[in-house]
Amino acid sequence: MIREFRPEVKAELELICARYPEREAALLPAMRLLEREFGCVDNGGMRHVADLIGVSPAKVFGVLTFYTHFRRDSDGRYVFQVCSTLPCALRGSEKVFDYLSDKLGIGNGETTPDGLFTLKKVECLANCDQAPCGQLNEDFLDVMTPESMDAMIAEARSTPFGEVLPGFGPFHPPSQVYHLPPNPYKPVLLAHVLEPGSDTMEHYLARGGYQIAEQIFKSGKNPDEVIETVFQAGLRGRGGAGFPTGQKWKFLAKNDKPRYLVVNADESEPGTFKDKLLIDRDPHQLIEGILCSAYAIKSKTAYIYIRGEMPFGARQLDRAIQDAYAKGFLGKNCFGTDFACDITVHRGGGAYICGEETGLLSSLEGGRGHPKIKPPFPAVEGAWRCPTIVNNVETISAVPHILKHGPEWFRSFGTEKSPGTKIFSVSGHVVRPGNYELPLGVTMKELIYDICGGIRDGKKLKAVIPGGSSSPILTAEEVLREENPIRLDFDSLAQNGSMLGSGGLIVMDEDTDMVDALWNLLRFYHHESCGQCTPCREGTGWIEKIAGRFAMGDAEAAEIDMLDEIAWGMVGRTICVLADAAAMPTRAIVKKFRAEFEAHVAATPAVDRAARAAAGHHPSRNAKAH
Amino acid sequence: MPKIKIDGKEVEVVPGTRVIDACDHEGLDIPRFCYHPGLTPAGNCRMCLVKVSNSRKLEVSCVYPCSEGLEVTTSGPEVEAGRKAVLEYMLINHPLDCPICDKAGECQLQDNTAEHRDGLTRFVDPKVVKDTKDLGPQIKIWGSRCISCTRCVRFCEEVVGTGELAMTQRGDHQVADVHPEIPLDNPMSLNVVDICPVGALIDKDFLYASRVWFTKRTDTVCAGCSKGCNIVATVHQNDIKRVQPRENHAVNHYWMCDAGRQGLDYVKGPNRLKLHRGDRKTLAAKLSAIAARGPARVGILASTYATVEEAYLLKQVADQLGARVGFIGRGGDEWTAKNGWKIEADKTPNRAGVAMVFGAVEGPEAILAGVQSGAIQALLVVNGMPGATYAPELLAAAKKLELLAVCDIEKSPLSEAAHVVIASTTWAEKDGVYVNSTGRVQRIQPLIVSQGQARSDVATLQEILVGLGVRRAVLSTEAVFTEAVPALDYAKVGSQGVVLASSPEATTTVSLGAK
Repeated sequence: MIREFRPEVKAELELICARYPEREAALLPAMRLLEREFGCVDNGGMRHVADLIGVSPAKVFGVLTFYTHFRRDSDGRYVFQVCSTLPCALRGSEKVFDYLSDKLGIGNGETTPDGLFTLKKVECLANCDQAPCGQLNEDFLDVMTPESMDAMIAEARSTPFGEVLPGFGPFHPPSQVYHLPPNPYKPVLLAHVLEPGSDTMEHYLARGGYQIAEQIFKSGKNPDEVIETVFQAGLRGRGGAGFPTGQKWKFLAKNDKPRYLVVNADESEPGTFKDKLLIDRDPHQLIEGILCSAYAIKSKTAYIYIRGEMPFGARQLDRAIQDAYAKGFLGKNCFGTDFACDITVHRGGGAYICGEETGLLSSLEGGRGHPKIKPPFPAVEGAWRCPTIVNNVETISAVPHILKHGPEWFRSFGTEKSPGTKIFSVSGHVVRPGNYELPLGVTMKELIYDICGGIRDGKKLKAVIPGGSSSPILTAEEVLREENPIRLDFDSLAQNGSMLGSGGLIVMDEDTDMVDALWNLLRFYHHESCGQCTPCREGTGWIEKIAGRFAMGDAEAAEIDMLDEIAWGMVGRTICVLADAAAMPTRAIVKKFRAEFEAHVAATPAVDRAARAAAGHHPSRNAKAH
Repeated sequence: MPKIKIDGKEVEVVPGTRVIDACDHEGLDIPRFCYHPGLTPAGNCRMCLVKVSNSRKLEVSCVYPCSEGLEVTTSGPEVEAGRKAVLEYMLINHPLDCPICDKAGECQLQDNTAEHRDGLTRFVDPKVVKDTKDLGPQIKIWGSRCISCTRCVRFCEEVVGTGELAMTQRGDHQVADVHPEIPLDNPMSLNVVDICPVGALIDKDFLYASRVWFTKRTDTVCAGCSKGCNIVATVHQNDIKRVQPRENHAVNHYWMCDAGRQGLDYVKGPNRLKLHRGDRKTLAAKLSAIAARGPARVGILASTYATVEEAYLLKQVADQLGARVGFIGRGGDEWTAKNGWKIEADKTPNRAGVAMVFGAVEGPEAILAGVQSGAIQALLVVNGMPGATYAPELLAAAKKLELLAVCDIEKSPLSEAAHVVIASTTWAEKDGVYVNSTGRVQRIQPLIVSQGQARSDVATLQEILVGLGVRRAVLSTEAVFTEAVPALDYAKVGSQGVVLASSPEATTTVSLGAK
């Protein structure tokens, strides 16, 4: 169908283009405009935006099909997305999906004949404390139950269609209610998130907000001194890698090119849901952090790359940024000084790999989220081939506090090598899942048992994934060890063969089937591999299929070692570390829970195995000709 | 100039050189899929792994820069194990349908597998299946064979600039594809078939045409325009199955245009002139007699498809008979790709070569006027240009001619009306030399045996010259070339051509004949 924007929408797109050094970067926003104006992104829509932006229609098609979150012409008015990733699966998301599937009479990716409902299994939505969670169109659904889904469907069906946007149905589920479970440690970043109006300018100003940014801008302080303060504080990246932030800033290439600050708000590491809370409930804290950081690294332009699945968060940021412009904090003359700073919110399209900093930059530039070859690192050559700093939301949100209270104050929390507080997202089988801001170095046992209330239903702990799904698993024995206990800091977890990662703890009780858990995680990595590098593109699918056969009782004992070998072959041979992120946890689970894999093999009737072997498609005789 | 060590051997490289290029220069065989020297490196297939002293991991040599003191190891157990592992991943979802794959026999996946793997797999699960479909009028994709190297996408973006192809979908469903409504049909599109390292992208004209190991490959030069792309023809059972570009950085780099590959059907087309007619033994005597009646009684009409050798002999004939020579040609659109690669507007291969011989290339107008006025009483037509059309006025006036002798490759109203017809060989059936628009002297070679009685114009013209008493014997084409250009012989022209210092620029402004 031939599509054409109304003149005012074309003008809107031009304004968006002007926010970026190259027009191509407006591609994802333009596809959001297509969604809004026409209810979907279809062939005609792709051609139209290709035309307006000046890229080939094939490029738009390639970009569209890379992402999962754009509405397609085959989607119904109401798209139910049910999270299927481990934290939600541990709390029954599969049952909810099956219930919806039965109730609506459609399978994954299908649409009801009346065009009203579409059902999709999706990957982690960064809302794991509300598991099993999902989305109805762009709104979050917390703790989904058959009853709540019945109500949702009934309401959607009975809401009359009036003047509604094309594509979308008029019904919206109730807004999310935010929770913060009790925590004996005094929070810094999360101090105000539950207070009514914490997301407003007035509230932020009333608690002393924007003072430190104003001070720095007005004092004309040497930016290198600001970097030095952050460096001295020992702040380490909160997104996963834990790289010292001040050090990263010092790596910036010194040349005449513009510098960019990019905030990584693509929170999508399974089991991690802290940035969403910071964005939804305290956006000004982040904006002040951006102002201070941009000043430090001499950047006039900042982008917040936010997950496509978080439209509410994007709206919150947009509103907060508008308010900051209105106050004169942002723009050509921040706080009335000669320093300029612009912030643009850039929505992603649904792809885990865009949380990888160079994948994010490719996506920000309007492309498929393919990670880039390093070196050069972004600090030398990043967005639009200019020096770029990519930092996580939590990292940037911590910056104003460090500048306000000084490095010594920051170092009064945490350990020597892991100073400060860190938000831990706890999901899975604990009594009180949720976000907990703790000084780094608290023992994992204290967090799980004393703070989160232990394992629910009086069960025993089996295992913990400590830092998002990419971190190798720890057994209950390791977590409960009295001597030299595992602490929640970068070094302790590294010494124990895992990593602090994003701080997303996925806690599993004694009833958890570790083979199922591995299969679940590998479905995630298989789904999210960008497809660039051969070992990852093919390997993630291969180990997922093998794990699936173990889960379904269709694997051989010899394949346990084979699974480990295939995973090992993926490590260190790719452009980014997604392959490692799939392979290392696989190896850890296979190593630590080998008996469960053996039990799955033993549970398969030997007669079936013999029959399959006779049919000649079984690996028991090891290699066969291609 | 940084010095590096490759497998212990010290090598000096130009700053900015990548390890793979340094290895290639040393003649080492680094296996690869995504790397192509004509495209920016992508580093995605991970096949070209080598060990470098700067890194604990294996690194892909196609993106790794050579820095001072770098030590590169291109073989050994670690490197081999890495390549072997990459290939195992690459093969799991590949359909391995080599028996019916068009690329079989010239497939990098086959070659690298034969070299680096043992033919065994541990993969027992269902493969991912992707679509087989048309991407455009000429090209079809077998999606399941695609290994996501992105060469085709980079070609359409970086070289052509039309960008009809993109990588689409994600992960192991990723495949090169077009927008559903926009076909792959740019003027250079078929190069993607050549650079596809596997059998994913297939030229529909070549599809199932022959198994490549039964074919004969002959180097030649394209006659489609005055660019003179270096090409290689694949021939099976005396039939040209396809032509592909041959690397020549002075002319066409790695590429050629689609038009140059297509439209070769005329060689064996139904309109081909295969039989002689009339008395060619007395032709020289008749021409000589008419020429003796006065100046310019004989006219010669040729085309800028004539080789240097043919032009040289034509000039001898014309000089002997006091004849004027007019040339027809064919013009068309000039087209320039994003990277500056150009298709020339002059759709004939040798205007510069003809100009080299004649000084200037005259159009057919004077000949037409001469025939119409009756001043020209004998007309000798020597044309090797396919699809030549002769002006209707010439056809009408030709009735007045006392002698019309036509040496041509195709039947035409002119050959129908001729007193003597000699079937000539086409570009695909003869030896010779063309000079391209930049003055590069390049050699064509016979690809197939000539059709019917068709014989080379070089032989025919020499025969006439013997009849006229100018030459004593019919020599080989190479001998005629060396006579025409004493500084050169075919060996000196070689496979990449040479530039003659005295070559005139191909900017002669002569109006081209009928389009």
